[in-house]
Amino acid sequence: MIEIIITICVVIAVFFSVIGVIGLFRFPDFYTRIHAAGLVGSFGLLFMGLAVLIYAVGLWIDGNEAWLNFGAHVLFALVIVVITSTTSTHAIARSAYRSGNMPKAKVDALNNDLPKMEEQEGRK
Amino acid sequence: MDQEDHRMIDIFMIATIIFVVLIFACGIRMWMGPTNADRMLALDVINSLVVIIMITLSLRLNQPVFIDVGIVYALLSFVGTLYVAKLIGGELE
Repeated sequence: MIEIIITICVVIAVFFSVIGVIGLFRFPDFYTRIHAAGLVGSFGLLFMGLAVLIYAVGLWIDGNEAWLNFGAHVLFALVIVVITSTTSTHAIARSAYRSGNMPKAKVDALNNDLPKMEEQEGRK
Repeated sequence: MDQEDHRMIDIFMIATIIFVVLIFACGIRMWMGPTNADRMLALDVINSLVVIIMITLSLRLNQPVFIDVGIVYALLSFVGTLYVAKLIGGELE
């Protein structure tokens, strides 16, 4: 039973990673490629961590002492990766916009709001 | 029980091979990316895939040490990503 659940989690992680990398090639714009890249960092990694957590639960049911080792390390890894991947994606998008990489969208709300934001920054 | 164990091992090995192929695909995007931000985004995806491979190998080889390697790799690549993002944005002095 637990092997089947772990297999399903691994298949979901592989599926979303493949979808994310295909989207990295197929999307026309940088800001749409960020969406595909976030798929790998969120779904692929979270479901692989979930597989290890379920494996740790299986070890705990079997009475093996190694379940705390697997579970604690994977929880720590998941917390770190959730924080760092979102922050790094945000930093890349911000720096790309500041370097003049304009999106191919019809409505660019940030471009309309930039004078107001610069005015507020100047006021501080 | 033994037969099921072998099937699981095969699935983890197939997943690892697929992730390595995806890393090479991201390398192609890094090579032909139109802007610098695309290259950095591809490198970010490669970092995520390396952490996924470390977690998969910890299940395949039944050793939790690989997860520690993944944690340290995630932290160090985070610092590098922030620095290159500053470089792309032109905010470095």
